Amino acid sequence: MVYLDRKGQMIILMGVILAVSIITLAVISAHLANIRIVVPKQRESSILDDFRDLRETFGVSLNYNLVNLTMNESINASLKNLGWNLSAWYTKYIGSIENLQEAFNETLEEFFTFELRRGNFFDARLLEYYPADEYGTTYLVKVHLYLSDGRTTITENVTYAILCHSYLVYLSEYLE
Amino acid sequence: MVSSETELSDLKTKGDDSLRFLNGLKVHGVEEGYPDDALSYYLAKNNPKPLKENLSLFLPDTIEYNVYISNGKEEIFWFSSGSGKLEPMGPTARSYRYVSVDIDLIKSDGNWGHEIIPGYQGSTYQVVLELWYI
Repeated sequence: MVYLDRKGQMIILMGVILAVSIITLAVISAHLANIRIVVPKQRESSILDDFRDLRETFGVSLNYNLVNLTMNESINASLKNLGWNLSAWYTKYIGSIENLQEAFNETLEEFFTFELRRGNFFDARLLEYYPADEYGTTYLVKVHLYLSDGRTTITENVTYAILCHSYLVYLSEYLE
Repeated sequence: MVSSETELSDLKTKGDDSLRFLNGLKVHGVEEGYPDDALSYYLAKNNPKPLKENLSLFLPDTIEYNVYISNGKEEIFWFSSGSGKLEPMGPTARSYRYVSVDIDLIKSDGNWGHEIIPGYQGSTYQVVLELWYI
């Protein structure tokens, strides 16, 4: 008799435990179903798209930086000659190839900063450059580009056509 | 849970496509020295109206947005789908597009007349499109 009672008690106890477990699981499931898991999509865009955008713009920025560097130098040089001849022809440069490395470093720093803000790592190396024509007005500049988001890395050697030439300008232009 | 992920993914795709389209859209008859893609040209001109018109063709009325210009360190508000900077609601996505514009063009009279971002003399910017569903 006692044995049967104990057996019955065990069955009832197991039944209670089972019921409680089911209820607990149901509560947990309901709670989980209400959780909104928002996956940040900002960094899940294709890094390939980012790279293509960067690759297109890098060369243009490099050319602008090259021009801006040399424009300041040529203007200053012209102003120094104001003392002996106000009306004269002087050489004005649109991008001196001698400043290419400095312009490249400046461009690299710009894009490094942009990509770092988005959680990417960008690097570049200036590989080589050479005149594209006999006049020395256009140079082909070959660079190595590297972009990584920590999971995917893209590298490519890209050649840009950089405008780089000098022309004569009348000094009085600067006096206006 | 699923709707938030889907919303963000959808917003990001729409934003990326919109900026890519504007960057590829050619403007005819641009002045010498100006870039001829719509995004760069109208940024140099400080004229967001044509960009806003194009974005209204791309984006449904259920999406609002803010557009910023960034130099990688800070960003300034440029225009929105409404008047003035809007307050985002709910999941928000951001799309980016590089733009390279000569600083001298930007400082020319009739355009910005000054640096877009004070103290920044570079030629490289990012146009940032921030979108959300209303």
